Amino acid sequence: MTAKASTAPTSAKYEPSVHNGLWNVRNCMKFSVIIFILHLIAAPTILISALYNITNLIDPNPSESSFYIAAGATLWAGALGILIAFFNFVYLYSKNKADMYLSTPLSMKQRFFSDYLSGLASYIIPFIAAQIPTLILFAVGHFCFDGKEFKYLADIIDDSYTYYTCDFFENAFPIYCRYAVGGILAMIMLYTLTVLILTCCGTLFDSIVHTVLINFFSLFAFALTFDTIYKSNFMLDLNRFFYPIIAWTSPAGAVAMLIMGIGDNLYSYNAIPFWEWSIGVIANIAVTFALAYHFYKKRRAEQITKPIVFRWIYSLMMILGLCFAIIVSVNLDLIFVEGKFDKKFFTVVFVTFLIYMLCEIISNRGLKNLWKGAVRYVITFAAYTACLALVFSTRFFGVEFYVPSADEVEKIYLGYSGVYYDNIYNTFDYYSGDGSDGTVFVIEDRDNIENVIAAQRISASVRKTALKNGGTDGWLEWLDENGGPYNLLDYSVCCVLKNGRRVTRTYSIVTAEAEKYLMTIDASEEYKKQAAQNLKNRFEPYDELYEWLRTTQEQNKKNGAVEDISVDLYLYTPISSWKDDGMYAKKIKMNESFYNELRDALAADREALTEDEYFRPCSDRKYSIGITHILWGLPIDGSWTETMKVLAAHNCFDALDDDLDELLDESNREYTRTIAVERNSESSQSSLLYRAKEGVSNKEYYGGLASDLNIRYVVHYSEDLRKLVEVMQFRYITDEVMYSIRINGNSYPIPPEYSDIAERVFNSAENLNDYPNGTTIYYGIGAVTN
Amino acid sequence: MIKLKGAVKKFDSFDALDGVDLEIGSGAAFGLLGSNGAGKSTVIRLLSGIYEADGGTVEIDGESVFDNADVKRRVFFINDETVQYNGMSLADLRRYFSGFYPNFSNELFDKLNETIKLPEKKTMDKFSKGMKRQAIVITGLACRTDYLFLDEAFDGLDPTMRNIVKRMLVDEMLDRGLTTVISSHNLKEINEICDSAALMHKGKVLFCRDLDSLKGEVHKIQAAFDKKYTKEDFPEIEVLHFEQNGSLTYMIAKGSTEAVEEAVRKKSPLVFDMIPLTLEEIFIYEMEENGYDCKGIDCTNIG
Repeated sequence: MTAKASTAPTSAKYEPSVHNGLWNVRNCMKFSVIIFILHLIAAPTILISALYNITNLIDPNPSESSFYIAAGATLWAGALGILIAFFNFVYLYSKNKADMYLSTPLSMKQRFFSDYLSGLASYIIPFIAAQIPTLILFAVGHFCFDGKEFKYLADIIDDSYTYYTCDFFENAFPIYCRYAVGGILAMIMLYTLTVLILTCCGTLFDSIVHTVLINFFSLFAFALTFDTIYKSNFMLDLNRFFYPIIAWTSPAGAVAMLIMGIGDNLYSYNAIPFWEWSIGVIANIAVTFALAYHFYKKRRAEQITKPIVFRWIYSLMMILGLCFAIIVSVNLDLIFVEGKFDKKFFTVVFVTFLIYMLCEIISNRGLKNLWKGAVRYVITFAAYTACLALVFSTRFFGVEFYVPSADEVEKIYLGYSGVYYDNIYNTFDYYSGDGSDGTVFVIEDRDNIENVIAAQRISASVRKTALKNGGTDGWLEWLDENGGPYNLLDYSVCCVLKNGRRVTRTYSIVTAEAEKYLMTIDASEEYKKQAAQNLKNRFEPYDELYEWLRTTQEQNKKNGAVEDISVDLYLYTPISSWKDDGMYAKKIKMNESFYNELRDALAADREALTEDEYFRPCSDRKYSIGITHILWGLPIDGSWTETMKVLAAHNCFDALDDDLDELLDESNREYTRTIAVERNSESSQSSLLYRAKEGVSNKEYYGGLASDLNIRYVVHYSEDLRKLVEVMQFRYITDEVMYSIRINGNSYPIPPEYSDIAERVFNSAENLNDYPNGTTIYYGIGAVTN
Repeated sequence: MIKLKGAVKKFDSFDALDGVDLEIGSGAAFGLLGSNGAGKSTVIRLLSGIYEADGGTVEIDGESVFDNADVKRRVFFINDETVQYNGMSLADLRRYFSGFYPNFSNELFDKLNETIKLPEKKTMDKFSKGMKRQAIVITGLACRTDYLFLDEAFDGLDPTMRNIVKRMLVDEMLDRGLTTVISSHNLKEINEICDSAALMHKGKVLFCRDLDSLKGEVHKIQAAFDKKYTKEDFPEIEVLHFEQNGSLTYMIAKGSTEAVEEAVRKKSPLVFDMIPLTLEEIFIYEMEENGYDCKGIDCTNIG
């Protein structure tokens, strides 16, 4: 019999690889439908909840429960990608299916791409389709609800809410785009990793185990390692380096970092910029895909039922798993205690070795090559533990003490609230350091750069000495006992070097010496300008602020509170604040014009203040102002000329109840008050910084106690007392030791030129130590023991 | 034309094929025989492009098979399992395979199904084993490939099913010169369908022969002589086996019918009978001639 030649193609509608892909999509249709439904529950649910919230159709706020439902649905839908990969590549672990699939007329390349892409389509297209209702809801929100308020549960523990004005396209849509694009990339990453694992494993059991464990360990081994290093407080911006690693090395890590960095207005800081996240994830996908294809081409049908076809995947899983076990042990203080190896270390070795060998026996399906596993264990354990030991013992190679020279620095992003804590900087944005919105200060002046570097050197040096002498757990106590107290002033520095590198550090202890350098920044033109802008930026648009108040008021009404809705100015002097235990302030309603004028005046004055005017306010016309929701307790004085004009123009000073005679009248029993004079010493005066704080010592120092303060209580009137009250300040900077006067718990510094008067008043005042416990000495009354 | 030249296949340390040479002409019905582990399935899978040879060449129509979609389009493989089709219906089988094989004929598919009347919509997990086997056979035939490989595809079928399936195969072979390679334990089946066969053992081909000529070459002789003779008394013919039981002499001899008959008649037998051998007997004696003791092989599995 002779063979007939094949006839020309007659019945095939598609190219075989396309036919194969379509067949896979058809087979996975049930998964695709489930994925579609789950994603339909996700983003649209949150949006609907937001819309309901805005229209107050549902109360209480359902957004948190809908968020959890949406998050759960999204995670389930994401996990189904693993199932789809298992379905499409079934012939890699099922002997029964291998003959059927591998005998079909497709080349390996055709089959791989067909199975891969069809699985991806089954996985991603339902997600994309589910966004159509979301986009429709966005359109509805945009046309019907833009500008409306909705509240968001900011803190699950204490049930606090934050209110946002929602502009669907301005605020929510960028977040949504990141969720959509990022979600697709994360799904592709998970799917591709699963395909890679399937090409490397030959049984269903091993494929499942490797998929679960690699996803788990690749996230938690890295995350826990970085967290452990971070908690050791090497003063490094670990987020800058480690968060990208977490994002780029595992699908779960990518999702976690995506969520953390998805929106500026819902989360306090960007873990990693979205563009950077995307590039890393795409690179990961490319590498994983290339590896999957490479190993797929090397796969042979006879390798099915071989547990692990390509051993490296198992080695990778075991390395990650062992590192995870070690780092958990480190966190449980089973390996290191106070920086030294602990004897419990041997227990850890024994247990992990046992488990490791058991895994070797299971993966090898016997005892062969067990010695290789033992060698791998020893190398991994030793290497990782040695790295950790090195990192901890050298405190990340001493890098936290590295400060670049001023010549190397091009500019500095400075997170610094100012010596008076006036300037708000939100969480330091290490990436852009963009100071344009006032969150950080951009320092480019050479003198300023040198001063910041000088401050850094001192802070780093103090820390190094304290760590060396006090150890990682006792360095603060050592500081307190040796040369303290110190000022707890946070400042963050991101030095952008001329070679493009960035060196970022955060310091929380500042010595007086370091503070001197930082203070020069406060007085510089560069800083003043930005500080003025920072102050201006705190003023939200009047109508938005009003709307927020209105929404808050509606919620408060439901709770039984009744308040008027108004944007108010609160104004008090040191004297007027005596009433009501310092809570008294004159309240003045502000209209939009007044509000804007005051904003501009404050900013202009802040920029115009000289160094003397800022650090050493003049004694007359001292006020403290606050504005609803904007600021509280900002001291101003006669130097703030524009502000004074605006306040006067709106009659703010009228009837400000600051009659000194009335308040110093001993016979006035309208309210009780305590007046004390504090004599500070060089040791108690930690820094040159004095500012008033409600109810607490005005001294910002670490660990300092009242025993370092000498306090005496004034009972009787004197002209000297009157003078002190006239000249006392909300805040003052000097390098001389000052007296301070404390009235009803609030301390006010007395400028040094009046120290002799203060001393006289001090010497004539009552010493509380001369009285039994529980005694209070009131002005005009004397000692009263409860 | 199928050609294996020095084909080697190893599974870890086990040599499944150790230098296999085979040539199967177009239109042949070729049987692969051998005990379990002989390497039959391995050869079939090499030819289907499922396995890649570790050495030597495996070619169909002059082209290497592995990872060659063009060649595989001319080949259809039916294995001994049916569980992989459980989730599919007959209609699904048709739809699935018609997308891969450009010559797929719906008419032939329907015509074949008319005979066996399998339900098209029902999933095959509800079929009996025989029905599943029929389903895949008609699908394979409907693909109208040049080559059809069956790996113990008749195992587990009852005689009626076997006959139906065999008839389908034979009809197609006759109609369009389909080249079939059937691997089986069952010598009887091979004998009925195939015109040539190879016997494999431990990864090697012991012999590969046309069945008719094979049968025509070997003869079983039963004779009674008035005196005792030995194997050496018949130098004109090749005696594979010589046995005397009392006055009866049994001989297996190789050679033409005339030469064998003449050699025996020279000795003036009192009784003389030439009996055709079964394929099983031919193979057993051939294996003995090749130095393989039948006792070392599970001959019960060869038919």
